[in-house]
Amino acid sequence: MRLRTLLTALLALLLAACGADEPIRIAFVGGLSERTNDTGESGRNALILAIEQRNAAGGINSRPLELVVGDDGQDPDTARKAMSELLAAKPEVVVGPYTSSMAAAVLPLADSAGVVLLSPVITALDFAGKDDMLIRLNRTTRDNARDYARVLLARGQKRLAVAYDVRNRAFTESWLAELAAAYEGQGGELVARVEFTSAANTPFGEVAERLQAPSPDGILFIAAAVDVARLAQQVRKLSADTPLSAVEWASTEQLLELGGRAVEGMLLAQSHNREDTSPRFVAFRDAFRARFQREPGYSAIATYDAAIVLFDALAKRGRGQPLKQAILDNAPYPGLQHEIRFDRFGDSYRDIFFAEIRDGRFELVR
Amino acid sequence: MTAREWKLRSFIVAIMIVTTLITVFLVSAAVLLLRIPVIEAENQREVQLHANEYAAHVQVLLGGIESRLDVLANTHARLSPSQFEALLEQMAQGTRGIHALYLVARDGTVVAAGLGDNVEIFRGDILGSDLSATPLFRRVIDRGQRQWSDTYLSALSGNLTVGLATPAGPNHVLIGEVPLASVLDTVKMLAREYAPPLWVLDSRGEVMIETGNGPRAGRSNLKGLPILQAAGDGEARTADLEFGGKRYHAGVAYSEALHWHFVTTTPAGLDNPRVLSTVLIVVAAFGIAILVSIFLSPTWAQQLAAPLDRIVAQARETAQGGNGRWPRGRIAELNALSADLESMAGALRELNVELEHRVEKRTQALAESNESLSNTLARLEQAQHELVRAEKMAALGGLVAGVAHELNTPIGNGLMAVSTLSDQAREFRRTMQEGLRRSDLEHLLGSVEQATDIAARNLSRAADLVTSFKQVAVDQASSQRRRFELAEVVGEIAVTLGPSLKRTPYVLTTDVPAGLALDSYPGPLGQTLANLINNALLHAFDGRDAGHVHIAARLADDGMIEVDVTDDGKGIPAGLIGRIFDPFVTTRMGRGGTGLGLHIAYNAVTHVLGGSLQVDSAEGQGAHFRLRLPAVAPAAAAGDIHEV
Repeated sequence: MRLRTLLTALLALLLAACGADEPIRIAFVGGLSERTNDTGESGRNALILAIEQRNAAGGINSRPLELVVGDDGQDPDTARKAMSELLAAKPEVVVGPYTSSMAAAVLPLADSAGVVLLSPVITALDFAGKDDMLIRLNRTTRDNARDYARVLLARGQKRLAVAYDVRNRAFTESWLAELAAAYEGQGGELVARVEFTSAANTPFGEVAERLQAPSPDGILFIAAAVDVARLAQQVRKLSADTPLSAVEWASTEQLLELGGRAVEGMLLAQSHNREDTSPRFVAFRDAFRARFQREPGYSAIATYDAAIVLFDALAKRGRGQPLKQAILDNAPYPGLQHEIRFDRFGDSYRDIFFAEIRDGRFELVR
Repeated sequence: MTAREWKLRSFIVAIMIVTTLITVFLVSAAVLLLRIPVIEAENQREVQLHANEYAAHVQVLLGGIESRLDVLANTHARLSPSQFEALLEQMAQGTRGIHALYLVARDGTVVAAGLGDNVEIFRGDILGSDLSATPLFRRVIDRGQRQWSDTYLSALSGNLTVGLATPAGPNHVLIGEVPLASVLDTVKMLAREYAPPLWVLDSRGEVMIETGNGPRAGRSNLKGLPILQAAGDGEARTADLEFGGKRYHAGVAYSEALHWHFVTTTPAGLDNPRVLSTVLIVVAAFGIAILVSIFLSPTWAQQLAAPLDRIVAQARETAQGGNGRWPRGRIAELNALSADLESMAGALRELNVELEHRVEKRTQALAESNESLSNTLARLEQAQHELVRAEKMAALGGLVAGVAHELNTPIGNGLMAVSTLSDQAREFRRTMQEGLRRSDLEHLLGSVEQATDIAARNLSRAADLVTSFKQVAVDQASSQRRRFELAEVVGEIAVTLGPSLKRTPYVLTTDVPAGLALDSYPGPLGQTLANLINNALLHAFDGRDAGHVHIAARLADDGMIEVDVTDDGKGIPAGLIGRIFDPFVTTRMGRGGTGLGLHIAYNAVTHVLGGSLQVDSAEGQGAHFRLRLPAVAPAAAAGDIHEV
């Protein structure tokens, strides 16, 4: 009798141990080593925070979450290699990537592996309206470009010079095309389109000169924060007062640190409201600051939203149900600042907030 | 439940293997229990030492850069701006590990720069740039002393960089960019010499480098690890680390200047090569011990069991009468056993021979006594037959005596009448000589008539007796089978026994209806009835003044003829009634009883007449014998009949 009890207990323990030990693996892919590492790192940190919080609360259905991180290096080959390694670890989902070019590189791998690619931030229109394994939380470049065109024209900038980074061509060219259509449609003129490659040896002074040459009403940067900061520094040497603006991609804390006075007055759109005082947002922001000694940027917030979606869908997923279906079926989700809904292609929408940099901080433009 | 029976060899093999296993298991467990904690402690110490060494080496490297920057900052006040810029240029190009040097005014504007060859083209971009918002610049301004930055993207190269900044006079800050790659190359170089895998984490917990085959953190942030939080106060601490589902010993060293953590790891538990090799050695020892015991114990068991087997075989041979040589081997106890068994076998053999002699003698004696008993039995049987025959003859003799006595009277009477007649004739003759007178003649005639009448009656009676006797004698002597009336036989017996009974006070009555016909043996039946009556006269009425024997017969429902012989005598004792039909059972032994009467009667009824004879009696209440006879007796061998 006692032996049987003992055996039963052992067996139960073994089963419990097996059940508890099998973690849900979540992969992350984003730029972590290169020039755009601020969005990638910020997103990864938000995912780390979300996973740590969820594990502390008992995981999902008693299974802990485990993060595997891949660095796409902002290079298609590196990205594919990283993605293959991540997929070899059999993750439930891959969160990322954070730039459209990388999405273009890794999406075929995700599609063939049947693993959901949950991208918090990418906006390129190429990815919208397709029934693939990509689920996007952000709006599209078209939405953003239209809003920028409207706001810039309202500010009296009718002649606009644009610099765009062809390393993230999928995003920047899509963005530029949408802008051109909207801007020129409303009577504006793009007087300079200067492409550059974000790299260590890029001569930013030359790029600034070419932008400034036609004496535009304003200059728009379609680039990441580090490049925007450096371009702004160079532009400011040529002109102290040409209004500067940059796409939402550059809207990070790094822009403030590297840009210094050069980025003062720069107009940017942000996919979240930095001045939100709702307890939920404040709690997240404080937790993020405490954990990483940084402000959460837009990619952190979008990634945290992605984690909310992911955890909710994983918890509610039926036995054998594909994750993509679970994500679409269980919408809407309570995001940090908005209710997250999806269309049948796994595309979403979120509000946009325009801000100016004043005294080294982003301030909402009313 | 019965215990399983083992063969000695299997038993020895099992014992050896089990003993080996238990011993090796205990030793292994002891080795593992004692040795593994020691190894783990050693590993723990080692990783901590390595972490400290990494930190110290990097500190030395960075200390060199720090001192150069300090020297440069001190010279700033004494040199003209152009001289200083030239010096910056020279330093940036000539110092390994420094990638660029900026002189920054208090407002954050870069006023002079010294750039390495490969970044010289950016001079125009750099000069006039604003660094006022960078965390490093702000920290130096705030604290007024030398500071290291976290890793950041160089505004110059866009590469990951650490910056070192120090105040240069009251109005300037000197910033040196140290590419992470050069620091990390140094670390990697060290890591090649020292085995344990290493993570270098910046102050925010970002993994800047990981070397060797340690846990793969990838591009991760490890600030959340408990060991870092414990080591956050700058104190080196050794602890275990759970990472990626595995356990590691981790050494953590903290660099004050850089606010970096150096984390060295070595796998804990079985993943650790030393622990693993220890465990493998123990397991191998275990396996070898098992193999050795499995391969050697049969041989050893054979060594031990073979002499014993020989002893057992010899014992079996001896038991079967063989007489082989008792084996001797190398084991003293077994030799002793063999010797003891040998002497025991010898003793047994002697005992056996003796026993055989004794048995033979006894058997002979038994055979002899058996033969004499057989002879005695044969004689006894012969005697019994003789006795039975004698008894029959005696009964016949008695009958003859009775009949003779019975005949005596009529014959005597006849003789007397005849002799009287003869006297009368002689008298008549004498008278006739004297003269015959009519009266004399008439007297003679009267006498003759009287005498012939007497003689005729008595002779007739004698003839009757003889006829009756003749029948009985013929029946009893010949045992011939014939058809007869039961009443006739009973009447003849009554008549035959009549003379004997007349001299006694006892009465025999019969009640046999006419018409009970049998096809049987009247002799044995008569003898049976006579024996039963005689039994009553001799035993039942012994010492009594009166007695009554009654014979009754009737036809039973089942066609058998029942003849009841009852007396009102003293009955048969209960202890005797079960054996009264056995031979030689009598209460009058030595007083004229042979003990054969009822035995003869029983045998006659059961064997010859084919019927049954039962007795029912209680002491003091007379006896009741019942014969049940078939109307037709079974055919029987003549020999049997004569035997009875």
